[in-house]
Amino acid sequence: MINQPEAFATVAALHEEYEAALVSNDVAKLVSFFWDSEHALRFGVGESLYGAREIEEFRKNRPPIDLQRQVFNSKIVTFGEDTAISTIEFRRQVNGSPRHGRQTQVWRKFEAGWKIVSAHVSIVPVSYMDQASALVGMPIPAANREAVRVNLERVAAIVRPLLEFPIEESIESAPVFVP
Amino acid sequence: MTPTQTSFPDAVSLARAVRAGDISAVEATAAALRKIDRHDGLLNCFTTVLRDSAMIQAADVDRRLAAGQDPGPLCGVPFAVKNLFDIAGVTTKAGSKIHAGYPPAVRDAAVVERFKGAGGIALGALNMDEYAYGFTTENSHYGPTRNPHDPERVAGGSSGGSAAAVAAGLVPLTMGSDTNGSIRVPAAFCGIFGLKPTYGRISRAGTFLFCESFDHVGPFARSVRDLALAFDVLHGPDPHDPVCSARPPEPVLPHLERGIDGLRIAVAGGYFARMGMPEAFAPVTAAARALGVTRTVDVPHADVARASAYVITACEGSRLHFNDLKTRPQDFDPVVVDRFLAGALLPAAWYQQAQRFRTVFRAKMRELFQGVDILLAPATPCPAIRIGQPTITLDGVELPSRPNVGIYTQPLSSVGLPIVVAPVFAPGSLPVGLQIVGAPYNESAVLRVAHHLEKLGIASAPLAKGYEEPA
Repeated sequence: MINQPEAFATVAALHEEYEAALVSNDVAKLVSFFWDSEHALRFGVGESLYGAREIEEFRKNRPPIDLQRQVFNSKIVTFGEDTAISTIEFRRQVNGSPRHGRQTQVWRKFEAGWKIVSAHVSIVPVSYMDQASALVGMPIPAANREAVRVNLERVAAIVRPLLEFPIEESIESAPVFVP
Repeated sequence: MTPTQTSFPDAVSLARAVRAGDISAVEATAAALRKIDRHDGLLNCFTTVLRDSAMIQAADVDRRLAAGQDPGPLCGVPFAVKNLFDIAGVTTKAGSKIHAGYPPAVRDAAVVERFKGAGGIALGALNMDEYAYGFTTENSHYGPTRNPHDPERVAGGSSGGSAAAVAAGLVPLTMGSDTNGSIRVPAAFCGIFGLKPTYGRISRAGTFLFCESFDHVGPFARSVRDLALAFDVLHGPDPHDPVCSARPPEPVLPHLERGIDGLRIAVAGGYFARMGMPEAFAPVTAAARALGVTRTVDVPHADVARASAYVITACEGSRLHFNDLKTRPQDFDPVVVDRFLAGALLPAAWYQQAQRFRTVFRAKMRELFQGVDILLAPATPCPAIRIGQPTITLDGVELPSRPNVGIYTQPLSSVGLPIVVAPVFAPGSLPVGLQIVGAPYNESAVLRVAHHLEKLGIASAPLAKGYEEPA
C-alpha cells in the first residue's frame, strides 16, 4: 500500500528530526539515523561513503559551517509498512555563493526502527555565466539569461581561432597603441 | 545617377560661395534648417537641432566677413556630429536613455571646437546605436535612422544619423566615430564618402568612448575634397586625448590633385574575397579595372584579427558601462544589453591574447605595406539591410545581422589603418562601398586614390532621390 498513513507519519516525523540534527550538526543523532551496516551508503556532494563506519567518520570530521539550508519541494512516498523514499530540494550558501541542491534518502524499517539505508546529495552545477556574474556582482536579469548565454557561446566560437593562434611568449600587448 | 553638386554644393564650394558673398552664412544655415524640418521627420537623423545657436554663429561669420576677417576654411558651412561628441550646453546621450539624464556638456569636443574655429556652423547632434555598439542605428530609445535611398532600410551604424544626414543633403559635413566600422558601414550603406583616419590622428577629447583601443573619429561628406578639408582642419596633436599622436599635422588637401602615380595598389584577397554577396565585390572590381590594378595581396590572419577586435570591444565596452550594467540593466537598449552583459563576463586570458595578437597583426600589416601602398577591399558584405532584419545569409550561413555587416571593416580598424570608404552606385541598385586602405599615417594616399576614382566617375555620392530639391 502506498503512503499508508501510519508509516507515512512516522517517516515524515523522522525526516524532520533528521533535518534539525543536520543543521545543528548533532553528530551522534545523525549517525544513529543511518543503518548500522557495511551496506549502508551515502553519496554526498563530494564524498562517496560506503558502510556505516565511513559515514560516521565523515560526520565527525565535518566542519560545522554553512549547514543552514532552506528546504522546499519535500516529498515522501512509503511502500507497504517498511520502505520509504524521501526527497527534498534545498538552497544553501557554499563559500558565500547561493547554491541549489537535491537530496534523496531510501528508508527501511528494521527491528530497531526506520533507518536510512542509502542517501544521495547533489548540488546543481552552476553555469559559467552564473558563477561569473555572482563573482563580479552583476546579476543577469531573468529576461536576458538566454540571450546572454547565447552571446557567450557566440563569442566563444568567434574567439576560437584567436585562442589557437600561436603567439611567441615575447610578444606583449601595447597599452598605448601606436599604429 | 549623377551628382547634383550644383544645386547642393559640397562644403568646399559652399565655403567658397559664402566667402564670395554669393550666399550668406545665415542663408546657408537657414536653408539647412528648412531641409531638416522637411525631411528629418521621416529620416530621424537628428536627436538635437541647435536652431538658435546655429543662427547666432552664422550671423557672427557674416559679421566677420563683412569686417574683412577670414572666418576659416569652413566659412559658413553647417555641420552636425554624432551624439557622442560633446557640444557645450547639450547633453551627450551617446544613443542612450541612461546618459540622457546627465547634465549638459560644459565644453565642446575637440572636433566641434576645431570645426567651429574654422568657420563651421554647428547644427546639431545625430542618432546612433546605443553606446555605438551596433552597425545599423536601430536605436530602441530614439527610433531607427532611415536610409535616404530606401527608407525601409537601415542607414548603417553606429554613425547612422551622420551618414544619412549627408546622403539626404540635410548638411554637407558630419562627424562620426569608428571602432569596428561605424564610419565605414554607414558610409557604404548610405552611398557617401567617409574617412576613418589613422588611430590617434584626430583628437577624441570630449568624445564619449566605446572601446578605447579602437575608437577613431572622422568625417562624412559627399566629396573627397571635403574629407580632405575636414581632415586638415581636425588632425594634429592634442594633449587632452591620451592616444592622440604627437606627429605634426600633414595637410592632404595640397596633394589631392596629384593623382595615383607612384602608388602601388592591390586588391585585398583571401578573407576579403570571401563571404560577401556578389554586389559587395562590384566596387572592388570596378575600381581595380579603372585603376589598372591586377595584383591581389592576401591579408594574413584577418579572421583572427576580427576575433581579437570582437573580444577587445566586448571587454572594454562592458568595462566602461559596468556600473550601469550592475545597477540598471533594464535601462539599456534591449538590442545592445545582452552583448554588454556577456562582455562583462569574458575571461581576462581572452582579452590578453587578443591584445597580444594585435601586436602580431600590426607587424604583419607593416610588413605587407612595405610592398604595397593601397589595398582595395569591400566595405560591407551586402548593401543596406532592412530595418528589423535579424539575420543575413553569407556563403550559405545564416548569421545575426548586427555584428556581421562589419566583417570587412573590423579587422582593419583593429590596427588603426587609415581608410576611405568610397561609394559606388550601380544603375537602379542600392549603393555599396569600397574600402581604400593605406599604411598608418598615409591619409594622403587613400584620399588621392579616392579622389582619382571620383574624377573617373567610379565613386560618387549623389543626393538620394527625392532630396535633390533646393532647400
